[in-house]
Amino acid sequence: MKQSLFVLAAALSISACDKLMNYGAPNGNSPGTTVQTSPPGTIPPVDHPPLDRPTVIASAASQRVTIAQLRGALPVALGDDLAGNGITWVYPNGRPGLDVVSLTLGEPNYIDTTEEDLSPSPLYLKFMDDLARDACDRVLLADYGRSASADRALLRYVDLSDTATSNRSGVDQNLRYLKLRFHGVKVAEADDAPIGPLRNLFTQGVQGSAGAASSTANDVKEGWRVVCNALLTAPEFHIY
Amino acid sequence: MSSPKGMTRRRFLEVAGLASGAVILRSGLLPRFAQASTENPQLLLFVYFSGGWDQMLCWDPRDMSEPRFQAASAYSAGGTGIYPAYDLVTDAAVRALLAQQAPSPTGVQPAGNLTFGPAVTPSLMEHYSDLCIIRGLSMETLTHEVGRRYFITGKFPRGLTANGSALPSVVAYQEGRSRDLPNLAISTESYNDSLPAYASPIHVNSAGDVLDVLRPLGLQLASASDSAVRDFETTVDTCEHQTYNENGLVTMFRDSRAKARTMTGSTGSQYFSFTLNPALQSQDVRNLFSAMQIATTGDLNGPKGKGAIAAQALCKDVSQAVSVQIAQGMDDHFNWDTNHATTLRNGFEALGLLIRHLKSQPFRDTATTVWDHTTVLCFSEFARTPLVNSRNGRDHHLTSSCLLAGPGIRGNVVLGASSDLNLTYRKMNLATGQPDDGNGTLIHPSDVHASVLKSMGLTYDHLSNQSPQIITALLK
Repeated sequence: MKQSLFVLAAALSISACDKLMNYGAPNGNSPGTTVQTSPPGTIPPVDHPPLDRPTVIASAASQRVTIAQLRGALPVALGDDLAGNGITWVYPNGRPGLDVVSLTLGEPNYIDTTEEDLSPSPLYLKFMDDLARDACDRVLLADYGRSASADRALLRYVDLSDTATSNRSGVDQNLRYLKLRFHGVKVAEADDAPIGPLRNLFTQGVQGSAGAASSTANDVKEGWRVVCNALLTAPEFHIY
Repeated sequence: MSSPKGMTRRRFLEVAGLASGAVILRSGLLPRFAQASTENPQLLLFVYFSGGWDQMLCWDPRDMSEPRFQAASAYSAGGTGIYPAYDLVTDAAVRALLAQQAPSPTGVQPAGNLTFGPAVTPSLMEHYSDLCIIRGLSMETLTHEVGRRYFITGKFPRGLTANGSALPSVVAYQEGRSRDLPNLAISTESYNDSLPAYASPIHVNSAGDVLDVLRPLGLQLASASDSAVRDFETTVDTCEHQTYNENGLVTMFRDSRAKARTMTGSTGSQYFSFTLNPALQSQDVRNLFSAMQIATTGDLNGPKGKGAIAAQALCKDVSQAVSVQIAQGMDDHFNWDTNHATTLRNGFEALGLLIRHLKSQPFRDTATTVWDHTTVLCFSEFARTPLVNSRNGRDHHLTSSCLLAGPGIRGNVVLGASSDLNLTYRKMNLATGQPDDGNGTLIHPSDVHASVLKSMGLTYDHLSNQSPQIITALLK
């Protein structure tokens, strides 16, 4: 037992000491003493991330979009309203939502703050919920005011009253289009996995609105509303 | 090669393997923090004075009547290099204090064992028996961002970039996810570095912001639609999620989204409907405004208003940790004489009223008050030079102070000191808190952080690479 403790102590002292070894020449100011330095080699400073790097770097680390990127992305994804203005989030006070919460979300103004915290914080996600509800309502208002499907942002490949039962292929094609438009994900024709849950969501939205009655165009609108909300609050929309 | 007597090579490897295993376990697999008990919840009030404060006006005063601290001596070769210059200050309250101390005003305000400078308000000094002042604190920087972030995280920044999580984030994490906004940051920086999302700071600038955070804005989804979206979010796991989650970002995203939904479903918003119209005020807000002496829009948007937000967050069980920038614009390289004391006083007045309010509010349904559970740390990024420059300003100075209070912290005590020559830092005996230039320890923000966390019964492992020293003299 005594021997075990001795070796244990020796092992610990070796590990504690190997970061500080005498490498220096005698110090000019204090003849006879040596300078303590970290050895040149593989031992990193305390708190340094691991030095072992993968031989192949697959990609940059994923990160959240900045508020400026989001401000630019929204009109591109959501298209124009009926007056031709890019659709974005409008705060209850009538001002652009992202401008109102800019400082709250930590967008640098280069006076008080110079760096943006890009963590997907609860506050960020809360405002993204608010953003999605408002922006989706605006894009639906615009789409339902346009008769030509090619002019619509959200309902590009379906009629305004199409359901997954009445026009399954159209709904699926529209969901593929939306995955590409909102998330940049191209879904192959034969691949049902990425759009299946979205189709179910759409149907739930329609049925939730219609209840026991037959669905109307308004119920279908509710279905696309929930799809739009889900797409805008998904990680794929905010992380790249 | 010889080995210890009786020790075989096999035996050596066995024990060495055990030892290295222990090291790996300690450094890699064990959690970084222990979760605190919820039986005695700990609250944190983290108060920031932005711009660099003048020590002599508040926590580390000098007697202006002493010849060595008067201009002729202070500026002379071989002089003290310390000029309090209280008589240059134009603030009406400071002038009234000096007039009261005539014919030989000192500018120093004693209270118990403490001495305060002339900018500290009676509303704050009334709590002297709870207050602990640390003097002679070494900030190691004269750069605003660096000093601020050093004191926010307790770790010296990497360049200008904050290093590690803010103290309130650490407290919010260790106390667990029991509140709507565990970590509220009012008009100030705060950071979460690799702690769970619920400990992330919620940044707000006004009570209106808190309201906007705690309630859904604008159009609402129909109940069935809302449920459908929630179900979708919790069940769908795409290839993109897995790809983007390589660094845990999607997991954090989902946690934050769940937290956001909890926040907006809470009843906390009722406490932050701040209005000056008495007809629209709830009784609770009326009482709060009375306690914080809020009567004008200026009060509401100033330090008292920020103090009121902090008060509601702590008293209504909305937040575990609150950080607040209670004063700003103190970087007085010019016009220190006309600006600095007034800015300090406004902040101290709000802080004093806030503490008084916390002392009056019951903690949940217990016989204790909110104050009985609250630890306060009040700081600035550094101090200001002990000599007034040619523009009636004071420049950046390394030696600073901070103010603490809390259930685990001794009150009515001053720890450490600055020197009477150029107001430089002096080492401290950690056990007694007395200056010890020979064998003492230089005190840094990391030491203060570790000591505060220890006083709260929390761990400070995250500071280990700063080699923090516990200031045992401040612990009860």
